[in-house]
Amino acid sequence: MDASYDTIRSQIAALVPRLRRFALSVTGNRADADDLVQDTVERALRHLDQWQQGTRLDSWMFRIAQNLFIDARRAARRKRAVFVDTEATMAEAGYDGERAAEAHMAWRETCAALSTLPEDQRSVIALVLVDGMTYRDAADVLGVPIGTVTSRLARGRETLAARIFGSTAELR
Amino acid sequence: MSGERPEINRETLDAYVDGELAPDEMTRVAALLGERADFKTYVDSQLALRDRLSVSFAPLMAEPIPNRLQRTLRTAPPRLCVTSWREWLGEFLSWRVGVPLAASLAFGLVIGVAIERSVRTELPFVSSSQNGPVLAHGELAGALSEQLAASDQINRRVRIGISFRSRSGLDCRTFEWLGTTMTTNGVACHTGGDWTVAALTTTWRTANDRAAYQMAGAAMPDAIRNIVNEMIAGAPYDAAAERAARDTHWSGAKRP
Repeated sequence: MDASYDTIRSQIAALVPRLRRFALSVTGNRADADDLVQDTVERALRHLDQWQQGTRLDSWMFRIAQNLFIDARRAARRKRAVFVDTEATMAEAGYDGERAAEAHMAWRETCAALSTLPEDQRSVIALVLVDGMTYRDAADVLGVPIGTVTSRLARGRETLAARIFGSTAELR
Repeated sequence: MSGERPEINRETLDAYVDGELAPDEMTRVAALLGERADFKTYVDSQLALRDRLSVSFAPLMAEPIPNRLQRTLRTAPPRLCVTSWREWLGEFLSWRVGVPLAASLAFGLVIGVAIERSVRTELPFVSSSQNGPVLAHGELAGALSEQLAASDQINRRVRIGISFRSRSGLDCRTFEWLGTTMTTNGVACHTGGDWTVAALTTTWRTANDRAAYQMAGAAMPDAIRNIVNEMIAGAPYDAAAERAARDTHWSGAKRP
């Protein structure tokens, strides 16, 4: 590893806002999202030797986050945990220091809509539409073919648009 | 390419919105938006969806990093893992070690180190063969052999902590290595003329941390303290015993 640890640590710190946004998109509440990012960063720092220098640090970290998210959901299912209604949790969570009523409304609607998506579609939406990743990068993070990314994306888009705008624009 | 152009469908328009089409396709779809109201409506709705998502998460992006995470980023967890002696024992038994270490095992001393492979190269003061023990060398070996804890250790790269006799009769010493980006604490025992590193643990340090360490030093990490507690026979050496051990070349139980 050529880059100093301090440099890599700075690069990881710079990725935190994006990771938090991804985590909130997929988990739907602040507490779980913060735990997910915390776990992601800790795991990344612990296993930094597994990251190949010269490859994308962000892809590697998003992959860790996605895998931890999936693991946590599986573990929760195994425990047959009773979850608080995700939609309500997301909508009530809000933002710390939220001031703009308009942004808050947008947030509530967005979270409610995201919570209706299956997890695999939510992850793709979070990576491509929220984070702005390319299809190739999203496929790399999720470990699926690009075709899977585009099909999940199409289904997720349709559901989200219907939930947020009340309808989906039809093509002739 | 002169082949027939693919039909424009919803997936094509999605890819247009996401900027995933080749430049000539982007141009073709952009031109078609002026002719096809349904395309235009669909693309506008998808752009609005992206905007909505972006606006919804914008406040989060402006938030400071949570304190807990900041602490993690400041003081990263150890990259070198000291295994518990019980976990490590099985591995150790498979090592082809020299007689002194093998003998020490017979007396109940458990001494071991687990170093992640890729990190070995980051530690300029230790060396190891494929499955052999990890040996101190260079500046660390010199400090372990010569430096006394009672001496002025401020501004030294290696600091010696305590020295002690192990339960199997070896002279052992704890040390701290101040690297440029990380601080490594460890314990090493003198065996067959070499300092065999029994355990290491490394913590990254910020520049501020390093400055503070340089002046004050730091407490022994729990991982190392626990290993020492497993190994030590009696109390650590006082200054006179430490000096006597050095002057007799860390001969351990053979010292008169």
